[in-house]
Amino acid sequence: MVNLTNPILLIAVPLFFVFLAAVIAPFSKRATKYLPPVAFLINLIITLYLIPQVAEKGVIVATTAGIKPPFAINIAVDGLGLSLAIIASLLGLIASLYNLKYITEEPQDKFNMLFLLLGTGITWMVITGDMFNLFVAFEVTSISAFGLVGFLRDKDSIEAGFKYLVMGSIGASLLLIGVVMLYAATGTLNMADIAEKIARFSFRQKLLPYSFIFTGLGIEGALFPLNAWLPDAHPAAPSSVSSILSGIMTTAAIYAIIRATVTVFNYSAITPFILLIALLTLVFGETSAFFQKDIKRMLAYSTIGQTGFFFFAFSLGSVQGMQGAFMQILNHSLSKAMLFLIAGAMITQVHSRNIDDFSGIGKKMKISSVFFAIGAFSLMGLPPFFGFWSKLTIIFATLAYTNFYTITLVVILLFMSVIEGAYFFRVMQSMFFGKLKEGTEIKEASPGLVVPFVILGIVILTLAIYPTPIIAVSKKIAVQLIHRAVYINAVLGGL
Amino acid sequence: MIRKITYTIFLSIIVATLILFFVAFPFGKNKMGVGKYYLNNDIKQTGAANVVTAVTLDYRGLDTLGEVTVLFAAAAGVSILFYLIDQDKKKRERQVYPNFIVRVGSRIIFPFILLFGSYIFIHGHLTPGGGFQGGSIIASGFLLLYLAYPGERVNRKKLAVTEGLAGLTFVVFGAIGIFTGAHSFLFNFFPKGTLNMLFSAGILPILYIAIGFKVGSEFAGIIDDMMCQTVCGGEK
Repeated sequence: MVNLTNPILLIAVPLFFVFLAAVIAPFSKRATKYLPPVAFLINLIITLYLIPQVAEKGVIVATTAGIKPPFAINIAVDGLGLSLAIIASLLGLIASLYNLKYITEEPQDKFNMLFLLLGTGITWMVITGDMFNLFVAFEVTSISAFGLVGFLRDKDSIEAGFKYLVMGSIGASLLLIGVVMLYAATGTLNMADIAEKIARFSFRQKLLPYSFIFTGLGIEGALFPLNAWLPDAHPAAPSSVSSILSGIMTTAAIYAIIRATVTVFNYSAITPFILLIALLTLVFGETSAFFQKDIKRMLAYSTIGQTGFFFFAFSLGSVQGMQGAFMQILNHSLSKAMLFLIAGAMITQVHSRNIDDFSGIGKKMKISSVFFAIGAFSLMGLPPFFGFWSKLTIIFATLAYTNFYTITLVVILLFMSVIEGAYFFRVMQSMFFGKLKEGTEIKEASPGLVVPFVILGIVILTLAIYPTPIIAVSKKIAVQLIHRAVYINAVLGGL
Repeated sequence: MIRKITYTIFLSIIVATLILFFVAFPFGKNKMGVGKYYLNNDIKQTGAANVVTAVTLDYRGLDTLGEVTVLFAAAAGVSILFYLIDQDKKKRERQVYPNFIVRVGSRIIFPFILLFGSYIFIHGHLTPGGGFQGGSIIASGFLLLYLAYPGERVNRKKLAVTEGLAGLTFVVFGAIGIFTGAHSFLFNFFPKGTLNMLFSAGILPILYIAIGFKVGSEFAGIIDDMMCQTVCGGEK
């Protein structure tokens, strides 16, 4: 009986297509652009097949080399990992469809390989069950991202790419040092095995490896003092790449922090510190976004703010908080990816990234503008959209977090949401009610660009109409995340 | 002044954390959880005489696939950054030409470098060394040729095809394991053979040969991208 739903196929299939692209690129550079959509589609189908299994068993474990964990690397997919893998495959599929029309610069073959590798690395990060393998996946993701950020090779992208390269490499080194320390202390690299052995460690002993891992991943996850690269790198990349970087890549790094904190370290003592960092990230991101003139830069700062938002919800440490965090991750990934794709389509018409140049294009680019509004509404959390439910859950979770400064936290969250609304409404006001500049010829972007983000918009609208099943599922995921023994037993149970 | 204070604070935080970590560190106790297992079971489970190879390709084979992919991504990134639409920029005049000794010497040495590199990766499961080392040695031979003959280039198409086929070999041989009885990626499905023989250790030598080809062609590609920024002409 051949098991086609082995989660390791999520890594093997895209890698097969990447190397296939390398083989066919010398003969036909154009043909390589059709490989990423196929690979992401297969990945999406595999993840959909995995849903019933994860729902039934909780955690699916796949071994490598035919040897049981912790002696060989294993892949462990639980609810949170699977959901992020689904999001990664979906966004990868949409963005690579968008690439078919969007990318005209050379060398296209290298771009397509790196784009596919970026998606693969992200999927790899969220499904792996091994600390060193996490580092490897992190490297695959970030190194392909460096190349993609510098893809356009103008002054901006080279500068941004270099800045990102330096900071990302420092982050990877710190992560590696942290993993090495864990190995030195426990003699194993398997997450579940470390989790079991680290239980005898005191709070203070865990602090050093944890802080290395936290800082290393925090650079990629754009946490407050470490995110100087993001506002440069995300706008400088081609829009389809920005949508993946903002939509799921920073989230994958945050996922790794969550996995390390909850499953591996079981480090509840650190949560007040995380809460502070998350709050600073939120405030920094949203206030900076408010002052931006460049639309992609504004969206990038908004990504920092949103990251702070769901990281804050996670740091509350309750089931409801994690539920809110997951819902916000889902909402942010879909909406932000769509907003970046739409911004890219608009930039191809306006030939400018300045928000003032976007005035009045709502009358010409009707579909794009309407879907931009849908994405923005969902992101800022207006009532019918899914963002409303996620923000509401986070607010309730904050109110349940009994501390003497609870009310202050709630006020900050609401105030930041208002700021977020303000800058999105400013853009939309200029889009729909502004005056079109004289002598500019603007028409709707080509269908090749419009169709992908419309698909994503339909997903967001579906979530807005039927939020209840997803809310129920996210509660299950949060419960599963908190009960870490289930994960550990599922991985080590075969021993 | 402020800078000094900041430095002092950060330094003291780092020192304090280090002390906290090492004060209760279990020195002198045997912490080799996984390592011990590898040493005891390597020959029985993989048939490789070189334990390092058994660990990198069998127990942690997925990591090696990842590292190969990282190198692939890095090579692709380099060639994106050095890609110039204006081909004329590449034909810049070179000031210094290599002399007779370098040109002839490199021709004599190059086959031996290739031979040595291939020896290293073919015997990766028996002796120290392996695909990454052998591949790098082969690429160093290409670097020598580039230095000796500034006008010439390797055929990038052939390099790209080699690179891709080697990667495909790794993934396909890994994926066959999923469809065997073990349902496990990179499962060693070939017979293990006799210890210390060239044809032993199942799929490990095949994987290392693939890695050797891949690393060699990738490094050669990176060298080509960087050297041709200034030196060589010709078609890509």
